[in-house]
Formats: sequence, structure tokens, C-alpha cells
Amino acid sequence: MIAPTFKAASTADSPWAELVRLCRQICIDSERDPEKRSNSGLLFSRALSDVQSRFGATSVGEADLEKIIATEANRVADAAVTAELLLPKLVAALRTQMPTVISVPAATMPAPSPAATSGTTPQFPPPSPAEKGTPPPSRKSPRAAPMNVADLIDGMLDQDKNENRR
Amino acid sequence: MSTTNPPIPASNTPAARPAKSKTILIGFDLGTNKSCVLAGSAGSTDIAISKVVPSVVGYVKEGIVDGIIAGNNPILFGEDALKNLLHVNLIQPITEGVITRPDAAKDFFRHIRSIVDPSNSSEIRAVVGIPANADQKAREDIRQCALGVFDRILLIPEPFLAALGFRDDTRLGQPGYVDPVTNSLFIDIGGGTSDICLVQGYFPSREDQISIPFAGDAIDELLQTELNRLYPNNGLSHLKVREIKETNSYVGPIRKPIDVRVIIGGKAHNLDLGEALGNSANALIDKIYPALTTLISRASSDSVVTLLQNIIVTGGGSQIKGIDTVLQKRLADDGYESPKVKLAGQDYKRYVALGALKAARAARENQWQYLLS
Repeated sequence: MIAPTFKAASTADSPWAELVRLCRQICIDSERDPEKRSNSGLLFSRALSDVQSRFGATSVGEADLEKIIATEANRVADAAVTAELLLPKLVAALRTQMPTVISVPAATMPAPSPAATSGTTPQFPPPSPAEKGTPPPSRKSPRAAPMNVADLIDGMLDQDKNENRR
Repeated sequence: MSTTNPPIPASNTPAARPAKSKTILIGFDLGTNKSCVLAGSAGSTDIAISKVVPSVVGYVKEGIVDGIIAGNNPILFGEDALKNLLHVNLIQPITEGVITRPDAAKDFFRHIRSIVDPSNSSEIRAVVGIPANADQKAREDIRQCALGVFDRILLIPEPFLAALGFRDDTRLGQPGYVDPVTNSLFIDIGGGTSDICLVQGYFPSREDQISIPFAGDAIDELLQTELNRLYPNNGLSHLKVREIKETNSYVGPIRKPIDVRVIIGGKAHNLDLGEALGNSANALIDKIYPALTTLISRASSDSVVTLLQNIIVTGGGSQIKGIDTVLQKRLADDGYESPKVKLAGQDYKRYVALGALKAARAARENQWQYLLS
């Protein structure tokens, strides 16, 4: 068995688990809304105070808080980068199967995460033109029921847009 | 010659424009040799106009005496232009499915508009068929020609429109009726291009369509070359050669003799064209068969058996005698499971335009493109 280098957070009501949960939520909120990042130091301190008040002043300390923040910040940043890279590919793949059903407006696509652009997280190469627009040729299956004509036209217009982008 | 105009800004949002009394929807099959236009009022299911027009524009030559040309029109279109060949400079605006003479094409578009809206008082929305895999330039050329003639347009690949036109909407859902839009392979053989398209219930992607610049016109050229070799100085015009092909063309084993009566130098001659007709049309089979099998290979194993039962040949090329049986036999000989190749039928000239009109009637408001000058 590999010795854990980090305290397990599996105990539901342990002060450690509670502090992990609070810190992770602060990191997620900061990821979603960069404006909240300026307050995060204060929020982390409050989280520590809350846990200490519930579980006792010596249950967790500043050193624990620093470790948890470092770990959770990395985990959230990694997740954001992964989501950012995967989402366009998933949309492209789903469009192949249901070309007119899947339509993700640009506004709902995630903005590049700070983690992805900060330079502290390894950058992945952008998808190639082929990855961006045209999914690889695959063996085609017919739809069980035909779509209505307007939906079919939507599919065509989506294809045209992808062509124009390329 | 090709257009070099800057792209027309196409928009899905309207610009300020005077209100028109009513809206007419057009399904427009812009063909290399023949175009078909179907039109009806928005909101109705009636087809008020149904017309096949040879895709030619005749500019009346200078010095023609008044009264020779009906109405002394300076420009003639379609049959009128062909009837007055001696007196006009005949221009074919489309080559291999794309506009190559933009000025003549614009005049042709105006003529189409005058057919459907003689009073020039309606808003015209046209769905125009384009060859499968038409590039951006080909699309832009159509938009340029439509600018100022139609109010809004939608460009949709022809083989898909053919499938939509071929679909019998009254039989949808009936037992035994196979909806061609759900799972079929369309072979649309026109004048300039042969377009093959996998139609499987979603809008065909680029990988689902193959366009080959070999179709009726290429057969005409091969036939003319062979005629000139067999009967030098025959003096037969391109239009006459096309007429011979349209009447006698076939594929499969060479049939001899096929005597064709022609007038050369004012005298009647019977020419045996069996071999020339067979060789020229068989060249088409050699071109489209690899594309056909390529698209079959792209269908999933779950769908391919049904697909093989639904191979439909349409366009002018569907009138080549034996084209269905030859393709079917070749597929069967190559081991494909019970292939069935069908002809679209006598209405083949209208299926693309009919599909275009159906698309025009189904299109949502935000799917139409405004043409902005």
C-alpha cells in the first residue's frame, strides 16, 4: 500500500474533510468568476475560523489550510483545463451523431480558464483544423426517425458555419 | 470566365426595405442545361408555377429586322433563345453546375423572377440547388447573381433536395413505405456534374457527398468526338448531338446496329451509332461506380443492407437506358447484398426543384439569408 502523502478526506464530519470541502468550493467559485478571486484569501481564513469554531481551535491549523488550498487549487485548475479541451471535441462528436440537435452557442462555451492561460499549468496544443471542425470519417448510421426539414436545414447551416470558420 | 466581385454580405437580419404585398417561395434547380422552377405563395401548399427552362440566354444580334424576334426583345431565354439560334448570341451561364457567365446568369435569374412575379411586387424567397461539394466561390457567385433579383435565398445541395423532392409526404409512416430521406443513396446525374449522396435522416455532411465533373455534357463530348472520327465533316451541331444522346443513349454491352437518321449537307443519312453511344455512356458508369461504392462503405453495418435496397438514380442521366440494371448488376457481381437500383421516374426534372420548394416552405424565418448590397 502506498503511504498517503496527504491526509485522507474521506471522514465525512472530520474538521479536515470540512475544510477541504469549503476550500474546494472557494476555488471552484474563483474559477467560475475571476472577480471573486480577490476575496479568496479572506474566504479561506473564514473557512478555517468556521471549522475551528465547530471542531475546536486545534483541530486544523494554518499549515493544514495552506496544504489544502494548494491541493484543491491545482485540482480545480486541472479540471477546468480538461473541460475546456474536451467540450469542443464532445460537441463536434455529438454533432456527427445528432447534427441538428446539438447546438452550443458560443456564449455558453467556457471562457478560457485562468489556469489555462496563466502559464503555471502545462498548455496543450490547440486542436488541429480537422479536430476543430470535421470529425473523422465514421461509418454512418441512419436516424431512427427523420428530422423535420427545418432541423435538417439547421444541420446544413451549422456545417456551413464550421466550413467558414476553417 | 469567372466572377471576381467581392463577397456579398449575406445576413440573417433584415435591412430596411419597402414592404411588399406578398411573399412568393421558389424552388429553383439551377441546372447546367435545364433549370426547373416551382413557385407558390407563402402559407399555401399550391404550386402556382412549374416550369422547366433550358439554361440558355440569347442576346439578339445587332441589325435584326424589326418583327423577326417576337416583341423585339433584346434578350431571349430558354426555348425562345433556342428557336432563334440564328439571330442570337447564345450563352450558357452554367458550366459543370457552377456559374461561369455571371452577367448572363443574372439575366437568367431576372427571367425566372419575371416568370413567378410578373408584376414585380412580391417578396421573393428562393431555395437554390447547388452541386454537392460546391465551394464557397460557387456559392458566392450565385449570391451575386441573386442580389437585387431575389429578396432572400437559401443554398442547399441538389442531391439532398432530390431526396426531399422524391419523398412522398402523403405516405410517410405508412407500412412498407421507405422514406428516402431516412436511408437512401441518391445518384443525381445532371448536365455538368454527377452528384452522389448518402441521405440518412440528417443533413448530409461533406463526407456523405461526392460530386464528379462528368455527366451529360461529358457524354456529349465523347459522342461528338466518336462521331467526328467515324463520320468526318458530319457538321452536326452540339445541340443535335445532345438530342441524339437523349433519344438513344444506353449503357451495358454494345448494341449494334443503332441507326440514327440525321441530315448532313441537306441529305438524309442513317448512321450506325451503336458503338459510339454505348462507349460514351459506359464511361459515365466507370466514373460514378467507384464513388457509389465509396459512399456505401461509409454506411454503418446496421444500415447498409436497407441502404442497398434504396439506390435511386435521378436527373437527366436517369434516362440513359439500362443505367439502373447495369449499376445493380455491377454491385451484385461485386458481392453487395441484394442491391436494388431504382429510377426516380419521369418527374426526374422536377425533384430537385420540388425538394427546394419543400425546403422553402419549411425554412424558419432566421434560416433565410438576406442579400445585402
